[in-house]
Parts: sequence; structure tokens; C-alpha cells
Amino acid sequence: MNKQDLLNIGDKTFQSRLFTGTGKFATSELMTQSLAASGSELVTMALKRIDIAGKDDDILKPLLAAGMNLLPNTSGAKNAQDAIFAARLTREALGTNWVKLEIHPDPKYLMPDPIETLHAAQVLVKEGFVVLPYMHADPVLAKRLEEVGCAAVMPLGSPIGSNKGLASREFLQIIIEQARVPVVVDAGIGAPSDAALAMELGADAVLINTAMAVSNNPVAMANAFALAVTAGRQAYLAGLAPKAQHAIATSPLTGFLN
Amino acid sequence: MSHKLSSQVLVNQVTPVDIESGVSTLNDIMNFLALESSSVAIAVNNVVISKSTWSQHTLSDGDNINVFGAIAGG
Repeated sequence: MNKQDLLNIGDKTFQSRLFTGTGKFATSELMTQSLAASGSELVTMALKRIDIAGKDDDILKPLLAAGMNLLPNTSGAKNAQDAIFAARLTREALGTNWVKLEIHPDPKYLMPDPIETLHAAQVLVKEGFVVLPYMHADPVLAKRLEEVGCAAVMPLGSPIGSNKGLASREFLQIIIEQARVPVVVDAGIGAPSDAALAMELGADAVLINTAMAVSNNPVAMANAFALAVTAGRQAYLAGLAPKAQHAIATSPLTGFLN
Repeated sequence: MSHKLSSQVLVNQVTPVDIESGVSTLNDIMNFLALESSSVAIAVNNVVISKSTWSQHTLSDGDNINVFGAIAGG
């Protein structure tokens, strides 16, 4: 891979275009090994009230030991007010002003609320946060979020955890074409081929969690995703050959049997 | 004149703590409950209180204290 092909978001530079979640891994060890295999440099996590009895796993220690950048999310927020509160908590707890803004009031499809998300983004950007909003693949909303100062946009491929791939492909292409901030395809990527496709379309990065964490072999799957993201990115940079309606011979058709 | 015998706060919605001598600030509460104070955030009545002011933040009867920490998530 070209060493100069770095991804800049906010104040950080990334070599890997594969971002990862930390949820759903069977054990903390498996999570750590999988993230290492993925090559990811940015990981998401959530915040919750701690167990007073002290039964919570320490998720941060292995992540910090691995040198990961943290992207705390506002999961659980049902409106802008909740999300702003959650972001202020994550900044205080984790010492980072990066936040994955996600507001999904509907528990069945976890569709992000565009109106609340835009409102929260405006407030958080003014408070100095580096805001990466989880959003539907809506090109108009992507521009609005960019205009209020979001550092990137994170449109969904399909519903969170569904592994249904890029159901939103046509709209992702419009977002990618128009965006002046990095586009990170988040949610629904179920297979390395989905991730490669997102990168071939010109996405700047992808965020993977479920497809890796619930695989029979998360470490091997993490490596597969890393290869797919690299392949997709290289293909995008190389430029895909055009499609045609009819065959175009790859070997000369004249002069052999005549 | 009514006289209140004790003041009490509620921590993380389930644990009541009496405010008394030696247990009157956010720092005191964290020590009293033996909670790890690194990588956590505290909100009192839904307002985030910066760690640098925990030792000066005196609690009042009925305060709703929530202590948050990181968990795995996507």
C-alpha cells in the first residue's frame, strides 16, 4: 500500500481505513486479538452507569495498551439532549473530544433520527467536539452535517448488526461524490466483500463490529476485513475499468485462422 | 420548626448514601463506595461535574449522582 495514502479526520491521521467496534466479542482477549489482526487504529465504545459492586470488565486497559484511538459513542441517546449529555460524559471520562454521535429512538431498526442528530451536532461542534455522526444514507443530511462542522459523516449500509451489506449503495455513491469531509460507511457491513465494495465506491473508511465479533473465528475475519479494505481502496485509487453492455475481446480476433 | 435528621443522595439510581461528616463531597462518595475514579465521569442531577472539582463539590439532600464508565460497544 502506498504509504502516503493516509486518512485525515479532525486532528488525527490514520494509516488503516478499517475502524472497529468493541461490542459483542465473546471475551476481552478475543476482542484484543481481533482488533490487532484488523490493524484498526480507531475503536468505538459506549458509556453506561458503572456497577457499584465493581463487576464491570475493564475494557479500556487493553485498548489503551494497544495504542488505540478512542471513539466513544452516544448509544442509548433518544434525542439531542441525551446525546449532548452523553458526549460531555465521554469527554470527561475518556479525555477525548471525539464522539460518534448516534441517536436512534426506535429499538427495532435503530434508524438514526436525522433532526435530533443535526441539532446535537451543531451544539457539540460549538463545544469543541470532533463529531462523527451516524446517519442514514441521505445525501442532503450529509451536506447539512458537513456544513455545521462535522469532521466526517458515517452513513449506514443497512441496519446496525443486520449484516445485510450496502442496501443503501446508490445513496452512498451520491454522498461520496458530494462530500468534502471523509465518508465512513458504518453499520450493516456483513462480509469483507461489502467492505471492499464500499471502498471501491470511494468511501474513506468503513466501521465494522458485528460481522467480525460474531464470526466463528473473529481473528481470521478481522484479517479478512483488513485485506478487503486494502484491496477496495487500491482498486478505487487505481480506477475501475468501465462496464459495457456487450463483450469486448481481450484477445485479438483477427489473423489466426484466416 | 422541622428538623431533618439526615441528608441522603442516590448513586446510580440504586445505592443510597447518607451525607455525614467525612462523606460530603463527590470525592468522599467515590472513596466511600470504593469506586475507581480513573476513566469515569460523574453527573449530579444530570450536570457533568469535572473531576478537578469533585473535592469541592458538596452534596445536598436528594442529589441524584450517576457515575459512568466505558463499556464495549459499536
